[in-house]
Amino acid sequence: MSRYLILLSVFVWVSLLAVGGANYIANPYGYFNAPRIRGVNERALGFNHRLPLAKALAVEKLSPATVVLGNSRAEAGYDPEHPAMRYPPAYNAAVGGANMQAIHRYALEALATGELRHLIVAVDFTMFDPAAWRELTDESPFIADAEGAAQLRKRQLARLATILLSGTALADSWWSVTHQDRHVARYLPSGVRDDSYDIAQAVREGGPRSASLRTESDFLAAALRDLQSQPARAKYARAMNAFKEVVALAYARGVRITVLFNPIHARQSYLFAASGLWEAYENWKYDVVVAATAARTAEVWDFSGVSTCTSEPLPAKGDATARMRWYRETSHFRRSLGDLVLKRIGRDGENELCPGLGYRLDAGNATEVLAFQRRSMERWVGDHSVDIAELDSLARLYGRRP
Amino acid sequence: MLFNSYEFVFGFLPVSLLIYFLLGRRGDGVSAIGFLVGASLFFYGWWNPVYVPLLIGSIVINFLIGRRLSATSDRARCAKLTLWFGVAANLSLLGYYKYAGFLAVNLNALTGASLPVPEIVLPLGISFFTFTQIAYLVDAYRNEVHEYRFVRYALFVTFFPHLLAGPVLHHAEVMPQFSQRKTFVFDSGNLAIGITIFAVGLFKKVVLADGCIEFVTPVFAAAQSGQAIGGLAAWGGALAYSFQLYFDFSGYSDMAIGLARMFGVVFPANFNSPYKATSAIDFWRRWHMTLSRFLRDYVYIPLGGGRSLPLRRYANLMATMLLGGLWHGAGWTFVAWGALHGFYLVVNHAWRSFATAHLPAWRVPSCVSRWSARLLTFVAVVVAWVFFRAGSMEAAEAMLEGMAGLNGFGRHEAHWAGAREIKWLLLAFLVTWGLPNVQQLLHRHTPAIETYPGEVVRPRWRRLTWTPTAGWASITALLLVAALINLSRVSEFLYYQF
Repeated sequence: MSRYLILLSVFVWVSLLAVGGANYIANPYGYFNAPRIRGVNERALGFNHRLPLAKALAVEKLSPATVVLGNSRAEAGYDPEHPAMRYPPAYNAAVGGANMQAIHRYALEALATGELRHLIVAVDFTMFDPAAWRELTDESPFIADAEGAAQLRKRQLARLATILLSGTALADSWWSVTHQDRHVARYLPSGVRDDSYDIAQAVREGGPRSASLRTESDFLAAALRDLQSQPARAKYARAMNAFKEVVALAYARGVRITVLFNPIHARQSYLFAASGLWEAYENWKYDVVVAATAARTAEVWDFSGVSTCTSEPLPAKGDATARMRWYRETSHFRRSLGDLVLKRIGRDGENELCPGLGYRLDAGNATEVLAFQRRSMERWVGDHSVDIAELDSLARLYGRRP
Repeated sequence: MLFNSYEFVFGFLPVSLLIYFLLGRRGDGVSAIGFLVGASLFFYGWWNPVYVPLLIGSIVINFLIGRRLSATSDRARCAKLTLWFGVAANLSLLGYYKYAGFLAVNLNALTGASLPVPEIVLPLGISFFTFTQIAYLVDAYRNEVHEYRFVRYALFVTFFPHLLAGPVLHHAEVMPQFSQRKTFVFDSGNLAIGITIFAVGLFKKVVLADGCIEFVTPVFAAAQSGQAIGGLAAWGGALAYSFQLYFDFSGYSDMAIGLARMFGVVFPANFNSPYKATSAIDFWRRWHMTLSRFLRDYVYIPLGGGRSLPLRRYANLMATMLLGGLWHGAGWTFVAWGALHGFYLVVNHAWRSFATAHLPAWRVPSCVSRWSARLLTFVAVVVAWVFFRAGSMEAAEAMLEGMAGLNGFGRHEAHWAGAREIKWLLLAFLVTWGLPNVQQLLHRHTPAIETYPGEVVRPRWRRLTWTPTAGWASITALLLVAALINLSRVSEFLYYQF
């Protein structure tokens, strides 16, 4: 029996060491300082499968002074290495599909490093969609406590075990190593998503117009369907409270906070009107402005109004190879436009390339700016009858009414 | 603390084993037992220490009542009153923590009253340690208890391998082992057997049971939200849950048996390949055997058991199974599950009586009849599990409608994962129907006390019998490593909530 026990111990420990060694070398989340080997671990492709975990790890490892939070738009749109970032190093911790609960959790992680000086929170109305509200059930990627005050040693160890000894990490290592030379989605070391894969995807879908129609259909099919019922209002309030808590925590720690309304395309803005949500959309913006400016160190910028960039015309239907300058499709802006946004909030004044892009908001001028944007939208609607007819018929298809 | 967690496997377990055997070398084992009681309370309080005093209080009170019952020579009035007091106290504790909310909700619905519905957090393992101690009191009353040392009694109740989710121990099986010196002396054989059983259990839980979750949760959630469920999705979800529950709970039981064995203690078996059962009666002699034995000995037989007239016997069966259902959870779905199994048992007994009396010559080839009976039993059990898993009677109804084909069958149904789900279910069938269980695998080494003696069939192939060789060491290591590298997603045992 003793021999059996010795053999068993040897087999188990050797296997565990092999798993740990493989995960360390393949380094699928870029967390370890493993030597870089071309064709093996040059690109940390584990981000493609375990994005929430990989970004939380990166925040812990880099301890950035500036962190960008948001959903898939921010994820591909804002480059942390842009010169307008005042406090380097910066990291883009935005995660596709993030709701306010996720934003809140990542803000805690960023605050827990103790190095944070500037928090940029890029928001969309859909992030406050009551139907998108989910309590976070999997806390395993995170190590900060509920106050964003401390890093929990126990969770840190468990997380280390997760990325070193787990089967999922081993599967991600294998995938990462075997896809080094393939064209797959990719995250740069600063956390921003390289959108070349997504643009190629849009080409496969038939070009920017087809891809836009798909994302617009997705929005009309599922987003912001119920804002009025009692449970929906309660969930909206919880999302807003999560946002307020982020602002309050940043303020209490002396961290500068900038809130951005993303530069969504005019067609996307029109979908709110076509769905009878325009008033709710303006109310939401107003709520965000009031909540954010409660902290004196907070700035709120609105880039969602109609401007030269946000009304960029779509290529013709069937033109698969055409590329838009500012958007990959109407739901996601490109880094070129994100750069203009960052430049604008970096106090470089209004941009010549894109007049009318970005207004600073506060509780005092919000009503006025929102009214101005409404008029701009009405003008755009008047000038774009083909787009409007297309979007109205799509909205009707999904049972939406103005 | 969970058995399937790094802190347990790499921290609590090795440290406890080391200290236990170091103390055990001293002699009478009292210090080792004392240490194990303390370690078990630490294990219990890891999540929520608030209920540790409740557990200690329950042990002290039951021990005092048990001692009084054993010391009373007069079996009549006084002892009976003491017994009733003890049983009532245990049931009140269980009733308050487990059923107060359920009772308030139903009274409100029935009478239109607005009684406050208490939000009580269920103390872990309360159903298990309550039943264990009720059995102890009843046997003390029957003068069948011969152990009066508090520390041994405390270990009998708190011993961490069984504390949270069983097996439901009987004092006569376990307490005598605490007075044997060899229990406290390190034995490499016990350790090797214990680790092997633990590895099988951990693999079942972490790899097989947790692997089923993705096919279960979405479909039952959809049923709960009122969606119509397609035939394939409904059957896939129900089958996947049947396997998830089996691998989860039998995996837990294997781990408990393996852990106890590492400490030199042999537990009773709790599962004997239940999905190989060929009748409802057979199923209940294979599934959660220690609970079914408890229900038989302390509910069914005191009610009159099988000695009374058929109708009375069926009523007793029904009452026992309803109680068994309610024991699992305070909800109408659990009552329905218990009722359905009661119904199965009644039909099974009635058929047996009828066939014995009227069809003595009725025979079909044994292989065909065995497999037909096995399939029929399995389908009946799967249907019953739908009630067990569903969040409400409406959700169960939606699932059963789907299974009955009322929403059609289609390859592209929502919540049906196609080839991946088929492969997973086939693997589960292969493991449950094609492989030997732990009792069979290690039968040469008495891995567990036979709960129903003589019912574990020896495996046909000698190669499938465990021996301490390099080959089996590598297989065990493979199971252990596969489980350990899947621990990162720590999930609770399904049976903790019961």
